[in-house]
Amino acid sequence: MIEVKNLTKSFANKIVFQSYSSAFNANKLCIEAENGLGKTTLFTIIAGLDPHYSGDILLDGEKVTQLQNQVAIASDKIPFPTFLTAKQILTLTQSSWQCEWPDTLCEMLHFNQFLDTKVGELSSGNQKKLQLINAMMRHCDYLILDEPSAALDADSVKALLAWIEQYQGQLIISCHEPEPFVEIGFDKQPLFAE
Amino acid sequence: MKHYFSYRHQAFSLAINELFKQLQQFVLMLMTMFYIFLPGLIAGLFFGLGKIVQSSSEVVSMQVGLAYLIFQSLLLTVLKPAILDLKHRTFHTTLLKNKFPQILSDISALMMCHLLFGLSVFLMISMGADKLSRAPHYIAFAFTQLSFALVLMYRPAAVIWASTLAFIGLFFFESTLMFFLALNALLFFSLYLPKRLNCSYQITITPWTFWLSYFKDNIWSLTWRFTMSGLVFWAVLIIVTERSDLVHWYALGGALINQLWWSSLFIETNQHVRKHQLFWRSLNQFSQIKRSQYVYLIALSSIFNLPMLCLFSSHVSMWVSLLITPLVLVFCKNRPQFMAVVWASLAISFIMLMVIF
Repeated sequence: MIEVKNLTKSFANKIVFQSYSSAFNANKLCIEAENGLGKTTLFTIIAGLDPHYSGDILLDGEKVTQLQNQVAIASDKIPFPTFLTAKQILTLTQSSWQCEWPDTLCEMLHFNQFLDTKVGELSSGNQKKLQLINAMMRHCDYLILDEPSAALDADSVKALLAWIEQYQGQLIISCHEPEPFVEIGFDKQPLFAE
Repeated sequence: MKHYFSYRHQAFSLAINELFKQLQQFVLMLMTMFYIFLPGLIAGLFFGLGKIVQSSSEVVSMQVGLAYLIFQSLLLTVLKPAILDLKHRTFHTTLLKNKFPQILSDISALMMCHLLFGLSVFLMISMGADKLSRAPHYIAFAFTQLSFALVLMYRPAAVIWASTLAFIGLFFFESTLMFFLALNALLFFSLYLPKRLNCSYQITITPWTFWLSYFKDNIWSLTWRFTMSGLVFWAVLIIVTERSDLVHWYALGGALINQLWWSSLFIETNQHVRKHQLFWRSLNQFSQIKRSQYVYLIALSSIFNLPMLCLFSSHVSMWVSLLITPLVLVFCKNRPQFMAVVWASLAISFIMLMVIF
C-alpha cells in the first residue's frame, strides 16, 4: 500500500500539491484526474525521482529513504537519451538494478527487432514499449505506469493486460481510457477526493 | 517569390539577433577583458592575410591560409542554422516550385555573414589590379574561402575531409598557388567521400562510458574546441618565436583561453544532465553521472593544455592555471550561466598573482 501524507509541491509560482494526503490501497489502481492536475508529478515523487517536496511517502506504512529502490516507473516525463539504442538503455537498467535481461517482455511486445534502434529513431509506440519494458523488467513490488496504453497498438495492449493480470505487486496507472484496465480488475480512484 | 525572399530575410535577422543574445555575455566578457587588444586583433587578421599575399616562406603562406580556412569553417558552422534557416527547411519546400530561390537566399545570407571573405575582398580592393595581378595565389585563396563556405553549407563532411587531407598537402606543395588550387580539387573530390563513417560497434553504457557515447553523438562540440585549441597553440608558437622574452605571458594567455573553451563544455553537458536527471535518478545513478561529467571535463581541459604546458612551462603559474576548469566547475555547479564571469575573474586573478610574484 502506498500512502502520501501532507505533500506540498510547487513549481516556480504554481502550487501543485498543498498538504495533500491520500492512501492508495487497491493492488491494481487507476488514478483519475484531468490533464495538468499533477498525476505525473505525484508519480515521480512516489518513485523517488523528485526530491524537491515536503511531506512523507509511506510504503506499507514505512517511511522509505530510497524510494527508487522499490518503485519502478514508466512515464513520458522521463526521457531517455536519444542517441543510445534501446538495447543500451535496457542494459544500463539491467546493470544498475542487477536484474535479468527482459527476453520475455521484449518478445511479448514484439520489440526484439527494435533493440538496435536509437531511442530518437523509435516511433512513439515503440518508445512507450521501451518505457514499459524498462520499468517492468525490474520486477519491483511497486510499479507505476503513466498512460501505459497511449500510442500502443491493439496487440500490444492485449499483451500488456495479460502481463498485468499475473503481476503480483501493487500497480498504479493513470489512463484517460481506463475501460480495458477496469475489465481486468483495476479500481478507479480520483487524484483529489470530491 | 518576393514573399519568400522577404520571409528568409526576416528569419535570418531574427536568428542572428537570437544568436547574439545567446552570445551576449560571452562577447561582452571578451570585449571587457581584451578591449585594448581589439584593434590589435583586427590588425592581426589583416597581418595574417598579408602573410598569405607575401611571405618570405611559401610554407608559412600555406599554413596561415589553411588556418584561416579552418577558422572560417568554425565561425560559419555556428552561423549555419541562421544562414540556411535550418529549423524551417521543410517549410520552404511547401512555398517553392524549384530550389533556385532557396539557394539564392542561402548564398545571400552566407555573403552577409562571411566576414573573413569580406576582409579578403577589402584587401584585394586596397591592393589594386596591378599588385593583385602579381599575387594570383591570393585570388585563389579568396576563391577557396568561397568554395569552402559554400560546401560547408550543404556538405560539411567534404570540408572536414579536405581540411584534414590539406594538412598532408602542407608537406608536399612548394607553391602557394598550386596549394590553393589543389585544395579546391581536393574539396571537389571530397564531395564523393562518405558523409560519415559508420561505426556499428556499441559500447556497454555505464555512467562512465555514457559520455563517450554523448561525445560521439555531439562530435561538433569537441571538434570546434579541439580546432580552437590547435589554432591558439599555433598562434602562441608563432608569436613566441618572434618574442621569446614574453613566452610566459603569451603561453599563459593561450592556456587561459583554452581553459575557457573547455570549461564552456560544462554548459552543454549540464543541459543534458538536467534534461535527463529523472532518467538517471530512476537508475539511482544521478550522482555518478555528475561525477563522471566533472572528471571528463577536467581531463579534456587538462589534456588539451598539456602541449602548451610541456613546451612553455617556464613559470609555475602555467601549471597552476590547470586549476581553472575544476574551479569553474565548483563555482558554477548550480549556475552555469555565470561561467564566463567566473572564468574571467579567475583568469584576472591568475594574471594578477603572476604580476605580484
